[in-house]
Amino acid sequence: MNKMRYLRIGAALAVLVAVFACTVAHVPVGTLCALCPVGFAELTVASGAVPWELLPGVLVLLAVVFLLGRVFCSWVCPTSLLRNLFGGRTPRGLTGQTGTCAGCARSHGAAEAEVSSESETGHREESASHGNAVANPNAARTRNNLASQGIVLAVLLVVSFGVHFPVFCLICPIGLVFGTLFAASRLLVTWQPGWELLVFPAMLLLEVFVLRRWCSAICPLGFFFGLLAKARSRLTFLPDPRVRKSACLHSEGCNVCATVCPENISAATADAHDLEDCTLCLDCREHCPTRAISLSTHEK
Amino acid sequence: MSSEVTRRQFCAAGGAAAVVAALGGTGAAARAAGGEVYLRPPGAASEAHLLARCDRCQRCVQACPYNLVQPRPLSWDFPTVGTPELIFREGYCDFCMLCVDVCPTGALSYEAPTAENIGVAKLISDACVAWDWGGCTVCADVCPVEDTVTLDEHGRPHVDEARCNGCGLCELECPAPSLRAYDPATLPKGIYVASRQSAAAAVPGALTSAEYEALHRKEAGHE
Repeated sequence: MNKMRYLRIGAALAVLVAVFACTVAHVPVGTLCALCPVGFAELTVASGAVPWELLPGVLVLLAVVFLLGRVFCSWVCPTSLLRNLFGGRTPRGLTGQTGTCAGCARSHGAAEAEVSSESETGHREESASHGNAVANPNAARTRNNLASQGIVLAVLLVVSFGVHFPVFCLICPIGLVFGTLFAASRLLVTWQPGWELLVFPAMLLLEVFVLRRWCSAICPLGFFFGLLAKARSRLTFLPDPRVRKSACLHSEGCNVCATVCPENISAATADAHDLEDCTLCLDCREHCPTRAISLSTHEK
Repeated sequence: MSSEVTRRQFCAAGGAAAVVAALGGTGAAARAAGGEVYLRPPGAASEAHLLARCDRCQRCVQACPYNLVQPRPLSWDFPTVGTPELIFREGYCDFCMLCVDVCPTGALSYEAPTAENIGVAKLISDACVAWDWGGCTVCADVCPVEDTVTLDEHGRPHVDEARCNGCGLCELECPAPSLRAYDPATLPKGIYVASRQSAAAAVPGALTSAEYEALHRKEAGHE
């Protein structure tokens, strides 16, 4: 049960442990910050010169996201790690009680209302047509908002340009996780605890658990990933979770895929636009009662 | 598609943008008001250049074989948090240049004057054991740059500030804390390396603990 979540926690933890181990062993791999397209843009405007040596790493990250989708978000990003570990929005603590889905309750209620009105008028229909009446949960979910992420990106670049230092790095949750990690490693050298050991976790708590819309509305990294996802959704030969319609129970009222999905995507009814927000966490594939969802390149 | 969600998202984005702008503004103001300088790894051209160019990827911290390069802790000068500074706690700099080699942004580069000269050693007159009584010659003995730390006729060490490259071996080895009674008004070591951009470096000769504390992180000419 919840094998995928444990795997994701393992993958994201492995990145942090690897960075820490490399620090102890003096292997200069750097943090994820060395791959960050936002950091690349910030340094460019803050210093007035393009840091070309950063470009290969940035392009590798963007290429991975383009080919595999937003795997970074669910498998690597420390923000998702914290949400997976300590609960958060809809998810789902470590022990894994299922979440809720924005559109499910409404569509369920609508279906019931329809059933009762139908029984009043005495028109009994086949269950299949009840199924058609079940609303699409994707209509009510919170989508990744490219425009609002773009506003944040534009403002942070203008501010970085004005003050001559990369300003978003100061509040980026990924940077804060690594900042906490390196503050701990500094502590081992200086034996003087710094305020960041308290302040960084507090900021993370605020950003990850109080500002629930961080990922969908604020994260400027998500702006780059969103653009790539839009381009990616036009290419049908790249893998996405696809539903075998013959086995799917959505028409019977099943919404498990939408309920377990951190993005509230109902894989059963998802179109290419919905799948732009998919982070390939594979929870839907794991929890589908009929195993109708698989990662594949072709619509079935 | 609920417009309420979108509106909330825009509110969140607006809030985040406001926080970013406020952080930028207060950070720039804090920098301008403080005029702080820190002892940076070799190859840092200036405080302003390092701060504009460093993405805090910590590769220099990982590369340093002697644990000298450490991320700056959070202070009121918060824009510098996570940028590299030198701490001579477990070793000294032998200019192996690994930190410069691994820097992916050019924040540390061979072109900067500090690539060959990190800073300058400053004697602390009220902390140095030899200053009061003579006899201790550790800094003069260990200094790897010939004729840089010399002893005068009273046995007091003097630093040739033009020759000193700021490697930090004297600061690392200074035995003052084990030879003096504890006094909170006196710095623990009798010699420290300060950035050449600091006001402490601009004053020739030895400084008292109080003078050094006041000057070593202030940019020269900032007052």
